[in-house]
Amino acid sequence: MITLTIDGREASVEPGTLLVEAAKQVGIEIPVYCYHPKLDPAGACRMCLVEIEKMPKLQTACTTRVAEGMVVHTTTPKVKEAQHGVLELLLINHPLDCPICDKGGECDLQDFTLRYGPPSSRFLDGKIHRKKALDCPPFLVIDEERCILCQRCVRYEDEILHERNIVLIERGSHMTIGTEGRDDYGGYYSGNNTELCPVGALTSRPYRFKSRPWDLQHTPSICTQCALHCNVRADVRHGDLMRLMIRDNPAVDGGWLCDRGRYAIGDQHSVERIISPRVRGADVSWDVALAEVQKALEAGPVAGLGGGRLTNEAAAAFRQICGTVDWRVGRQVHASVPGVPEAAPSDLSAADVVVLVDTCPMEEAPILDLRIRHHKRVIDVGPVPGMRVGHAERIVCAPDGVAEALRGLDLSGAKHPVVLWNGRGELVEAIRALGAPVLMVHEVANARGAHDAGLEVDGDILAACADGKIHTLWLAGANPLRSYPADVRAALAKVPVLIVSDLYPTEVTELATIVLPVAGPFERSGTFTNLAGLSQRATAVVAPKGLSDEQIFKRLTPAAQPARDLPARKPFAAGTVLTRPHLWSGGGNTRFDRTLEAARTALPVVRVHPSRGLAAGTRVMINDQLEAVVAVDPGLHPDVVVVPERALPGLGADLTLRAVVPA
Amino acid sequence: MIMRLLTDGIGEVDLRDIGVYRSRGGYQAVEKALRRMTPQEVAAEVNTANLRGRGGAGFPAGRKWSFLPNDGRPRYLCVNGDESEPGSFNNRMLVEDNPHLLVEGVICSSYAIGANFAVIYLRGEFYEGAAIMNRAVAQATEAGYLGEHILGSDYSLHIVVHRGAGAYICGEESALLESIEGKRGHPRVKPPFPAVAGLYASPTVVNNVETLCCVPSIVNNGGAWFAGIGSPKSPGTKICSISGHVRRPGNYELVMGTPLRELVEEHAGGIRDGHRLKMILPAGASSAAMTPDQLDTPLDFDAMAAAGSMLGSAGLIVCDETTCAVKVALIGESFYAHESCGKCTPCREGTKWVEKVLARLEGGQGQPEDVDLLKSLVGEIGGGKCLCPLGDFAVTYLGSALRLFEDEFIAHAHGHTCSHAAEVLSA
Repeated sequence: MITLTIDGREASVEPGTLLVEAAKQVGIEIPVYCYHPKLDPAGACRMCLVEIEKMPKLQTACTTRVAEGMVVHTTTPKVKEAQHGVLELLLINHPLDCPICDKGGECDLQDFTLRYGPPSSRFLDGKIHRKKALDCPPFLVIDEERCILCQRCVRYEDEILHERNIVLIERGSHMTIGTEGRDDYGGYYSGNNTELCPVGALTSRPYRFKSRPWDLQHTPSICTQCALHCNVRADVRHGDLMRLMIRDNPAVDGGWLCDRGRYAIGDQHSVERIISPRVRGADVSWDVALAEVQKALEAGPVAGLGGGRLTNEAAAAFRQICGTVDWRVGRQVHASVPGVPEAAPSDLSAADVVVLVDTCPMEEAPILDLRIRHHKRVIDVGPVPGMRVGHAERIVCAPDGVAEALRGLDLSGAKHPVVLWNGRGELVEAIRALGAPVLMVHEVANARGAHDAGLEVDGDILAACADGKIHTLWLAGANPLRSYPADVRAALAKVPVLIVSDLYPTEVTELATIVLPVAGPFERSGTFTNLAGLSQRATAVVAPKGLSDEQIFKRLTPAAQPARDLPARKPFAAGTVLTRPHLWSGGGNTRFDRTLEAARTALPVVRVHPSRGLAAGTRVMINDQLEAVVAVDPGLHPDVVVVPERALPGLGADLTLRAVVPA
Repeated sequence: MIMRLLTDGIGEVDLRDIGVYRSRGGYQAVEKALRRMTPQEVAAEVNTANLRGRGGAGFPAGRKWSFLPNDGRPRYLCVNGDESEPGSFNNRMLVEDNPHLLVEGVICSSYAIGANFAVIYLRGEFYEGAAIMNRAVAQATEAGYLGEHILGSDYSLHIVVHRGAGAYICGEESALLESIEGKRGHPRVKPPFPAVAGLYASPTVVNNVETLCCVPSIVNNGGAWFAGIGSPKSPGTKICSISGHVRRPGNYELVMGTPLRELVEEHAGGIRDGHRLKMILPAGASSAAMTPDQLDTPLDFDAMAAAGSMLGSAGLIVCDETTCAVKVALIGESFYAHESCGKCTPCREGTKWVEKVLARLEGGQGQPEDVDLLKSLVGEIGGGKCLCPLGDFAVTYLGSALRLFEDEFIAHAHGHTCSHAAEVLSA
């Protein structure tokens, strides 16, 4: 430990600690703009100049590391003069439009000006005017005038994302931040910029003009858009969910949120929500609906599908009510690899070799991807590239050749290997043989919780439906018409009573006998278990529309006759048409603001190998049903075509692509 | 006293031709170093020579070389030829008129530090210089002084000539390295210094063109010989670029310690007819002004610093009495505001503000408070508050002018006139 003195207080800190952090540890604030604990020191804003004894010039506390016996002063006249100077200079071209700035009230420029700044400005000359309210779709608004050029965003893009969606343009007093070569933001993690930005230069379009920081109530909760469960702070104004903010949990999210997680808050006021229970097409009261449900539960063999989106408590109740329940309604068939140690997200940061088994973390659990972009060996096995940003050793194989490709891998040289797998296909043996810890990337948010609560059966419930063996099928937050890798319309048609509980109308609510609207994310409390087995609490912050799943199940008594003797589950055919999760194709019960959704998902993308001879950007019709735009990906297996998951209901193994001329 | 160590033959013969260069003893230092000396011996001679960096800071090159850690990483030599200081044009002459001397210096120095790859970074505007340098490198390669197994030894060296994109800041060594790496020309946070983590995060030496051009004669004649030339603490020669109101502006290679007066009055031919000296900016637009009473200052690093200014890269701008001190400040500040890289606050915002205030003063729109404001801004930007020295450079002349010629600033601020212009008219 290193001992030093800051403003007369003795601090004892780890060697290598930056002065600004050492000061924090003894309760002394050194104002900073460019410095951020998760970014490399830049020494750019010069706000943190302090006086160190025996050094003739002021030093930046954000770049100076502690030394034994160092004596630091942060409040001397020399330091104050420097702080005055920097703030005066930062303000000369600042528009001072605080009254209409979203950041007003939580702005470091406001706060530090109040605490450390000069009382008035001596600037008489005209301010430099720049672009304001510059749209950077889908989520950002850039205000070049408010920007103090601390370069946190630029460094975040460079150091954390390795993407450079926001860069510095021009130099000197003409310097601004912006996108280069395109007008929109190209990546999946734009929202973090709005929290990194110490001023109102980068703000969120969805939150724009919605609230003042002092009107917000903060509640800790978690994001349940994917199975990682990043920690969030839900900010609510007068009962409305306004925004989600980072609540740094090093074991889970490392202090970042992806855009899907951050901006998927449109459920509360979506006009598309189902708001009333329905029985055979007619709106009914909850009492009538639940009586119908109870009747159906007692009328014959009952089974439930879904549950991977429910809280642990609701999942357990779902199982109790239906008896026979399986959460697996998509391609994922395995929730774990028995006999192999489990890895945690933080192990990815420490890993030297990461193996992606036909898995794309950027689409499936986006924040995990940030942990593997950094200077490690990534081996990317499968028919579709799983590593989108950064370098990976690509092992291309046919869709049914993954197990064989894995058998060719030797990880004996790796010190801390981690395998990422999404539980699709029959790869348990091949993965176990790798002998490395596995981190499962589940298809739905609480797959792990549902698995732990026993929502799995040996047989195939949908096959039992097709055989006419199920009287009542309950789909809880599940739409197999989009998620199941085969057409199950005929099977569902054979079920006498189909109960669907969901937030939004879907293909299956159209078929349902009974539709139950349920409370959405942030409308219900409960625990969720993430992909590494960590159980965390999701807290309700707004009033629910409908009952929560748990409340529904608690008002029912268990089915008299859970379905038994199910037909055996058959492995899914590994065709050449692959559906892959896509961050913006939605997970079933998610809505963004409609305008944002339209901006983000103008057309689905179908990815093909260059050997197909289709040019990138070509518009095609998939199976004459869905218009899509072609992306050419040389990393694909040549035979494979990739369609975003859930974009097209009932997509079979065959697929036609017909080029269309855009109107 | 003129001593043509680096400029010998320039203007008389075509030293760009390797045959001419060799016929005058060129590349003998390479032959000597590689055939008869170990790298340590070459470095030791440079150390003995007390060769101080000609780029401006005057840091001993031999000591700089000794900071390279010996940890198995590749080492690089980068030549700083981003000569952009207003008033300096001595590197340009060496690059354009004596390119093989630089190549030879680079070979000897790279050999001494154990670098197998060197980059000659030239100012973006040196189109011609880059073409000449490339030709020289090609000739030297063909002659066997560059490439694999130079002169049959185990030593290999490749030189790349890299032309910048036209930014003054890239003369700052860490910004220069960023620029070579293909990044934005922004200074890095130091430490780590280039010696520890320089080009591609490897140990790197960055030396000025003129510094490296001194190395061949040190190798040929020995460090002790070099150390005996000129001032004991600043040995060797210095090419002084002198411009402005003198009769014979140009480059003069002088023994270190030659009095400023000799350069101005003798070599440069004195102030133009009918006028008298007002001030000299001895190290380009970024140096503190010196006045006629300081003409006897010896031109070396320490004496110039003791006189309150600096030798820098010896780009002397001479101004006679017709020069308005405020206008000089405005011209300089416009340059620095334009060239500020924008990375740190005081330089980016401050230089532009100072430029605006000076433009107001010059344009007859001055306010009485402006003189105090300028003095205070000099303090807000200067004094080591910026990330790199550019901020200090940007206000050094202004700070000195506010001391030496305060009355002119006051006249601009209060009377909205240039008191100085009136004097010229009445004369």
